Amino acid sequence: MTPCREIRARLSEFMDGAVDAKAASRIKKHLEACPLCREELASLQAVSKALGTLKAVKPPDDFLEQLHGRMASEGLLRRLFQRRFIPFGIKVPLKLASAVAAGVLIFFVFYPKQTQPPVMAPTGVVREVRERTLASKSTKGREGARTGGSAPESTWSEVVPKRMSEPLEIVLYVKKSAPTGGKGPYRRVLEDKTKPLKAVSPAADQRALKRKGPPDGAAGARFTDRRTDEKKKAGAGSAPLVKKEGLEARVAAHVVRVGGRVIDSFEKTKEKILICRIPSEALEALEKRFKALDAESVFPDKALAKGRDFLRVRVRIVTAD
Amino acid sequence: MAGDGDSRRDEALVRAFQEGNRGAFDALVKRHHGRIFNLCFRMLGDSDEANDLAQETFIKAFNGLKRFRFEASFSTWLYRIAVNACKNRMRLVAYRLRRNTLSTNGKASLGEGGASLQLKDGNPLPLEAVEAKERALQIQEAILSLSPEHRAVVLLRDMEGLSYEAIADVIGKNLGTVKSRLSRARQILKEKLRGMLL
Repeated sequence: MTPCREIRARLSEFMDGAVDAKAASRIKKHLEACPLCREELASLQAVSKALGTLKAVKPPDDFLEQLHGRMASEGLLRRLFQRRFIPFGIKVPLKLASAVAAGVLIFFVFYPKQTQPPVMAPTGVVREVRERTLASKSTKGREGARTGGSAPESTWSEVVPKRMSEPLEIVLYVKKSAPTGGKGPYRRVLEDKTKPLKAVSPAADQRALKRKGPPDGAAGARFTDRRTDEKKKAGAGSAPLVKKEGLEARVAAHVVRVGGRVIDSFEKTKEKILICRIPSEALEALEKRFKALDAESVFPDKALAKGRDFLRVRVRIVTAD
Repeated sequence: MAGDGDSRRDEALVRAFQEGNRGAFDALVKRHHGRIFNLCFRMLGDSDEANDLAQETFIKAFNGLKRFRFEASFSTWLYRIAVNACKNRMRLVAYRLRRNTLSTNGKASLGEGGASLQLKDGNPLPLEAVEAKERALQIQEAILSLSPEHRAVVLLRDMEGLSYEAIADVIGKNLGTVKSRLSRARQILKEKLRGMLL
């Protein structure tokens, strides 16, 4: 750093008397010899003087009254806030954070993802389900006694959603039948009386099984196409035999036909589950279609569909082995 | 800058407030509101904003005065609150949009250093007064061209007359930072006001 640059860097503090004696004498000595640095010092002093001579701007005459008014209004707000949080010893930033967190929690508790009307226990459905369950138990019990199998049980919680955010549930009980003419995985399961399906070859059906759980409506259409292919392959005179898993495709096709789509599908022990989204007005049509299947179907109360454009439906295909 | 006598008076008033005398706070406001308002005005260049921030400063002081421990003088503490409030306000986007528009209305207006170039009766001011006002406006504009950090340091030193140590206490930085910021701020102002000062 040249002497002039070094001196100029310290001129500001020099003119305020904020440099030590040794540095001050060195700067003074330099200033005596350097007119440019003297000019620089004069400029800085002029700036400082200009700021110092700025006349003070006066506050409003009623400053204190304004302050009292503002303190009164802010004090009220503060007291309200303190009453909420001071007992817990929470500081101000945390107060805000906790208030926001509480708000978010309340929002997610009372406004679930899919808003549904409040679910009241429809007594008619409960009664119906119980009757069905009892009838099913007695029938299956008899069958079970014959075949050694156990009867599927249906309870209120299986049919009516427990919470508003849960999908409506449709249960399809697959009647257990002795295989007629089929071997291995083949079994006479269901018959769509309106559009009977034909038996399919194991290889073709295996390929179809890999496409389980179509993600959208187009995938549902694939199921329909596959069935058309199956028809061509099997011929009109074949027995109405489908593989057990074929019902899943049939259900998906019905969902697509009524204007819905299959969102997801997965398998549990002794049951397959399809998660679907259907227009609420299609629930009745879907019920009719499912009744055409050779399975016992349990539908939720139609009242649950009121006031909603679309329904999220969980179709459970329960098979008793 | 408040002298020793002023500091002792402030201390007595603060103690009185801490013992429950609410009137002592009003006395403190009356003693300091002019300086705080002026500092806020010079920091922001707007009388309404300055009034708002000066009030905000005293409200914060009121809320914190019970916990005041006399580690710094009351006036230094008050300056610290005011400078921080001004810096926070300047960070607001809305304020930045309006920053370059100096207020020409409001009860306080620019006062003697302000922008109004007319007397109350509508007659023009004398030439000297007009020149003084223009000069004050130029200086204010130059101050507003500084960053908030440089602005605070140069105003506290050259306008309020605080010592380097007191400024360091107000802005919460060390002496070296105060010196360098002050030097830089003066350099910038010198360049901005070159034609006017020399």
